[in-house]
Amino acid sequence: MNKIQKLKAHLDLEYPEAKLELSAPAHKDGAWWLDVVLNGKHLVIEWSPSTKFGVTTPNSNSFAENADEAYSSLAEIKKRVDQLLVNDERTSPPVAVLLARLRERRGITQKQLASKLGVRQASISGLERREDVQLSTLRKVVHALGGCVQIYARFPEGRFALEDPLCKSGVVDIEDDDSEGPLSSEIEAFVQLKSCGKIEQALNLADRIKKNHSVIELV
Amino acid sequence: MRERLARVFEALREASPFASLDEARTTLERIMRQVEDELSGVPEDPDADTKTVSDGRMYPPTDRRELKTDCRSVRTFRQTAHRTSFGINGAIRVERIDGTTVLDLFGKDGRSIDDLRRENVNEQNPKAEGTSGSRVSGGEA
Repeated sequence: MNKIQKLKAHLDLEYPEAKLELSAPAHKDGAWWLDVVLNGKHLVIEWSPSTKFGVTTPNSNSFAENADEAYSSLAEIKKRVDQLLVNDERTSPPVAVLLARLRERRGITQKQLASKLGVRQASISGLERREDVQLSTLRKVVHALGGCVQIYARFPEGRFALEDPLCKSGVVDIEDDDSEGPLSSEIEAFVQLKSCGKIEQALNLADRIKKNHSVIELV
Repeated sequence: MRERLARVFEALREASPFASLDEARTTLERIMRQVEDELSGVPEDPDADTKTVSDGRMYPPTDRRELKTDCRSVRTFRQTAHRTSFGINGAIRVERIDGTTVLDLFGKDGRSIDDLRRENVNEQNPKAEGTSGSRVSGGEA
């Protein structure tokens, strides 16, 4: 049994109500595909002996691109698939790819965006290929596209929304989930910083939390 | 993405019908490369097929993504959210994973991917129901 067959066996056991379809490759080292449909949510998982697991929650615009996210081990992909099936989450491609998709969805060309930001088109092209994007750059680009950035730090205890200062006066809100579990020390520290008005430090902490635990959503 | 995809499909429709699987496949590859070079803003990565995560550019189906099927006259390739099938007669079909057909081009002999599959079933099981009738027009479904 290969790795994706093991993943299917795991999902068969954990989600008996899910519809699972495994497609085998024509060639020995080709890609296997596992489609998982549960409660209207569709996950596409790709694996081959020479590549990592890829996972995507496809939408109507998904076409001919590689996966949104990659995971090396069976344990990692199991964990991520569990998160995606249980929570109301979607996969997220690299930020640069997400920016390009947002720009296209807004009907704006690289040239038009460059003009709005007062930079050269090559800068936008470079930005949309960068593996890491500064938060300040992200904000400028999203504002130029007509939106704002929201970063959520998600924990078992709740979800923390860090509002974009240019959208909502720098106020940091906390959105509580229904969970009654205890807050971690990081969250308590975050709450304390926020209540003292130390927004910059709170943002820095949230950034560290984000790197360790959360997802970025562009809305 | 929609605009780039629409451009690819439009150019394919204009270039069709194709006489062979190889002609259909190489034409799709050439057209997609041209459109992406012009519109995606992402340079082609020659190693993209061995990478898992998207770089924002559309790539044509590769051998690594070919699916195992019973049909000898159709080769089907899977990508994240769709399947592309090429017939030995040059027919092309692109289907989303929900089963929606988004492009259905007939080969030069007037037969579609469906026709080829039905013929394959009939060959494997001569008593099976089904016909190998052909239609005359192709295009986006």
